[in-house]
Amino acid sequence: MADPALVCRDLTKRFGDRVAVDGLSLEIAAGESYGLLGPNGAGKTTTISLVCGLLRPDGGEVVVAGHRLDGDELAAKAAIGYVPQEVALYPDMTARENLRFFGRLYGLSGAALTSRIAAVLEIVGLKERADDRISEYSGGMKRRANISAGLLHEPQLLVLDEPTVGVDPQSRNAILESVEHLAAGGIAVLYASHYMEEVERLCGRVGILDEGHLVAEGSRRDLVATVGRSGRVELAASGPLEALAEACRALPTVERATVVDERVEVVGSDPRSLLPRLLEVAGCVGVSVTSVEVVEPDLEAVFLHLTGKALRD
Amino acid sequence: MVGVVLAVAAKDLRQRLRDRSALVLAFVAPFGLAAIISLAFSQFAGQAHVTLAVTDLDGGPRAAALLTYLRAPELARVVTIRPLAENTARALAAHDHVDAAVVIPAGYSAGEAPLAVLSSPANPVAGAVAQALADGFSSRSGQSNGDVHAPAITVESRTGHLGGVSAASYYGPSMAIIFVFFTVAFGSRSLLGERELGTFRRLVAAPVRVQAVVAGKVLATFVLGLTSMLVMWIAVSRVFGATWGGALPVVSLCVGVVLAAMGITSLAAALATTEEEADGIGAGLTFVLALLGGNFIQLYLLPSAMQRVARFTPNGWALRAFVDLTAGGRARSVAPAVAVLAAFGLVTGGLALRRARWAEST
Repeated sequence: MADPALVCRDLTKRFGDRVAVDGLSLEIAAGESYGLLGPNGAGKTTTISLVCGLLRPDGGEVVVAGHRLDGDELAAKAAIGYVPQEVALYPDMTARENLRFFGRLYGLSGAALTSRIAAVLEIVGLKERADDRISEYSGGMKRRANISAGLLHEPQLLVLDEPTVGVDPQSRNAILESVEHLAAGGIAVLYASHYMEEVERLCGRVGILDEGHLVAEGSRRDLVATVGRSGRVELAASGPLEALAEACRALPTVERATVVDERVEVVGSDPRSLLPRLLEVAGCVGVSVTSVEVVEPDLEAVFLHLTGKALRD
Repeated sequence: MVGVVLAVAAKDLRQRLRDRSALVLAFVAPFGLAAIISLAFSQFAGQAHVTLAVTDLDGGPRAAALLTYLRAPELARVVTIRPLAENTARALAAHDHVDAAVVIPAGYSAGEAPLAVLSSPANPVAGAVAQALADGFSSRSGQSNGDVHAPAITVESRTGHLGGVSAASYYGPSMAIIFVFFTVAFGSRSLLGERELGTFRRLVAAPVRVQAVVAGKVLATFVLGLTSMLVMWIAVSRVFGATWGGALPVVSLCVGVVLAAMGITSLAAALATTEEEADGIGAGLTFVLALLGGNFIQLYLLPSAMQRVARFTPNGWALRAFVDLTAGGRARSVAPAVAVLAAFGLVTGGLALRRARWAEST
């Protein structure tokens, strides 16, 4: 049986008094796609930095493809394909030159390197622009090139840290398709994001991270089941929204009601049967409802259920 | 390890050679400045020529003797006499059309009026020559009261020719030293640049030792710095005919200078938190060392206290060694300077390595 692609045991990292990662443990099997979901500041990038050997943990250990990071560092790093959050390429060099350089750092050379460069450019759809400088690329193309540099050495574990932040929808879809393609090819993926839809689309298993703690872990179905029949009703409305939220909170089946922008989000069990009572309450407090959306339980609801916060917080 | 070092060095060199500003700093600027400064000083170097306007308002025997004195064959290589009316002479001297003017006033032969020497503001050396000739004639004619022979003189400028070293031979290495600091500063602060660019995270995540990455950067920086100095040496020698000295001592000195510059600029980069900050600290340090070390004003023109201060700068050590070599010093004579320069580099480079922030933050 193959070694797990990644094992983290009791990982802890402190920055001064702040505990960024607190006793985090997780395991990713070979070929498995794992999503690390959490809002900004939850500790996703710190976790990834610990996994990739960019930071030394204050406690715990990381084992990548059977290699302990603190004992067999180079072998562990060689098994990881790291795609940082920001585009980490040389803008004054072409995509091909960048890939040739990073490939050499992973011990590739000659025909093997040339062949791998062609392969990864094909995967991310940049074959035609391979000899353009990175500075001439659009934002989405830079992101795709950024991913290609993490794939050159055919890693056993691909670690992506928010790879679609600031990317247009078309490029975002292209990136997600590339990752899906890689995952289908048998590569293990650790995908950190605060975009619930991306994690739901790509990952068979999800870890929910909040303030450095892994608060829940499992398949999407398992996690959603923890919410029970809870769902969300979003009321776009005008008027005293705080008063409406407060009135909603008084209803027996409502778990939570918050004002977000021009909307009141209400979480409760059986949202469809809850809706008529919410509209009645809105009328009583003088709120004019302009639209209604009933959202079935999803990872967003799971996060809200577990932490009391929205993912975008 | 070696493969990684070479890969990083090749990548850094490729980036530097694509950067026009780096090429200008490494090759064009030092040569251009050395050429300009050398040409500026070369008008005073060796035997300069002075065009002297002379107005004789006296017409007496002593005035005639002075004119004969000034037209003497011994002075012909140095002084050209242009007899002119007084107003014209004054106007030409005021507008720099002649280097200086001597007005022999009426009554000069009778001892009733002194000579007037007008110097051009743009050429104080020529004014001094004219005054010296006038004083020389007055003192000699006063003693001999008869036929006065002009001395065989040459006009030499200390700023154009020091200790047997021509301006080009001094300012060639001088400018090369200054600009090698700027050239190697690119490499010294490149780790900061990688950090700001985000590529440092990718480098650290790769299965390579950070030491190998640093070694690659050091190699690229050294190659570029040394190439800059050697190209400057060849160019100044070919274009200006300047002599820096024998190949072995010159190359040794260049290596020493590059090492010192790398160490000092690395320390500046280690003290900074951003590339711009490193740029500012490095440039400031470069100019201070250049001023104290004699890169702008020749060492031998500096007051003795400043000459002692120059001993504490790598620039001062390097320039003295280059001057020694040019003046005929032996290869062995530059060994102490090479050792001191290397020590500057090792000590400051070591401090930079100790202070550098290797840890990555999120």
